[in-house]
Amino acid sequence: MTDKTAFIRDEVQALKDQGLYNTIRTIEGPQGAHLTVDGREVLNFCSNNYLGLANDARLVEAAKGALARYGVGPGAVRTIAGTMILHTELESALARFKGVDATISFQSGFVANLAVIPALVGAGDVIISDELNHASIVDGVRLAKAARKIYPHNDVAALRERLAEARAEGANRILTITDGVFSMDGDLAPLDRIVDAADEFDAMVMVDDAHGEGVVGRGGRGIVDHFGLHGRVDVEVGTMSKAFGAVGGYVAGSNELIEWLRQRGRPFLFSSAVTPPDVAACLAAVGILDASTELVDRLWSNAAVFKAMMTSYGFDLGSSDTPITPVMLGEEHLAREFSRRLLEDRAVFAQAISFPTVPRGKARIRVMISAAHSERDLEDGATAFAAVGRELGVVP
Amino acid sequence: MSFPDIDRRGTRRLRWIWALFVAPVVAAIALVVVVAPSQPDGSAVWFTVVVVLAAVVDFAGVFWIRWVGAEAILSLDSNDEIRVAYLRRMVLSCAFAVTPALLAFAFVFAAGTTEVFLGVAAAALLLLAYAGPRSSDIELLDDRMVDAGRSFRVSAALDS
Ligand SMILES: Cc1ncc(COP(=O)(O)O)c(C=O)c1O
Repeated sequence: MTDKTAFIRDEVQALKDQGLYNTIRTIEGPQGAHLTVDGREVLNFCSNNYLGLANDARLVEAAKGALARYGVGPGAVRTIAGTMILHTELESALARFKGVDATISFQSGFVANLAVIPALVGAGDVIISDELNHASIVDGVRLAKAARKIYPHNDVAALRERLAEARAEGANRILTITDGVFSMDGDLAPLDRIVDAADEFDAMVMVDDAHGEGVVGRGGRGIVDHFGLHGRVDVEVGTMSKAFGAVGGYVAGSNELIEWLRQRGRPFLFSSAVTPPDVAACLAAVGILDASTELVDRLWSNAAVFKAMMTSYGFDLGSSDTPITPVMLGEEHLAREFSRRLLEDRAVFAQAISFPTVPRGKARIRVMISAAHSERDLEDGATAFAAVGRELGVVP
Repeated sequence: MSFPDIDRRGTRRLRWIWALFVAPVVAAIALVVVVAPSQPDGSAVWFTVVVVLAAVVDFAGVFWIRWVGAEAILSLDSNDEIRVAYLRRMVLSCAFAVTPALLAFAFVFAAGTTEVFLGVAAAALLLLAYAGPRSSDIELLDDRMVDAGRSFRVSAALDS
């Protein structure tokens, strides 16, 4: 008999040969400024836990309370028996926080993109997407039957040309999609100009603000708030897994949009909801952000402090507009070696990012700053970077 | 009519380049149909053999170039490299598709091999449609990019 899955072994070997194989490290404790990795305590520069809420006592308590009150499981998909009062409370709280009519929650940000894109466009329609949009948008685009056009990263002139082409080709509906914050460089989409261009051609605008929610805008209200575009962006996608510290995704927009997703969002209709303790933790997170900008402010001041130290050491920090801090190194092997030395010699956990996630020759270490970092953590981190940077001849 | 601007963004410029291959084949077909050259002389068999052999080799070349070209594109990274590789793949494969038709055309008046020419020219047009800048072809390359953990890189490159 033939080995029907032998191809997997070959493919995995090929990944290893090409240096594309993902080695996954296991964390033996809660998320925070410090982690236990392989039995060692390390300084954490890897997680998207921007506000340090992933292990915040208030979220933990809220989750415990929900466990006691609602149990562990949602029971069914939400349209059948899985919508608990907690889910609707979260959706209302998010709508208030975001300043929109309504929101709908999903199991993750990834799933929210898969739900919303095919619900809005199909055959005869056109999607126009930034070349660097997140994989979940790419997959959502692939799920939709609409034609697709891709524009160079943040190039609004090119977007306008694609819009004109789509109109000239007789597109029915047009959906423009961009990430709010691009997670590899930390740069913002020029959403104000994107919205102007889309308006000109009567196109819908969707922004996936996974890395912007809880980070940019007033008190972390996201990129739409940052640009003051309330009411002009048709679809906002967000995640609860990054700044909000828990798990889940959502779509924010008009009442009509949310009603439509309740009818046609396939992951909403055919996959069970997030569990009660998760939802309660999310609710607590939204409450914390609604009540105070303290964590968001600390996140930004931490980022400014860290970036200033790194710049003074001579590091190239790319073009980030956000607390995402890419330390540009260029060569893939250099980035990998840098990351290895940081972890093994200096107990700093910071992931190297290289091709195919970023272009060849643009390898980097992406430092994810968090409000959970103390000033001491930031100093220790920057000092460790400087030491390894000198060893490897990256900085003088 | 404005001169085709092949430097402009977008895939439309690729259609202009492609049209440069389609045009001579269509023109040759039109000419042969209108002029309807005389009956074959005794050398037609040899001309036919030469044309058919050339067609078989060149048409196979179209598929080979497209395959090699696709593998090359998938291994590339920057928009510029991908765009050049895509253009090279398209131009080369179209050139291979057209060559036997032009050869057959040259023999129509020398040897009267009209049917052979029309057959080869029809096949060349089909192959040109296949090897040209088709969006389904670009999407297929994009899908392979995505399957390899990347994004819609080929569209991005051709649109940049
Ligand atoms: C832009 C963007 N969208 C969506 C996601 C997925 O979010 P989640 O982890 O909630 O599925 C991510 C996470 O990496 C992201 O960066």
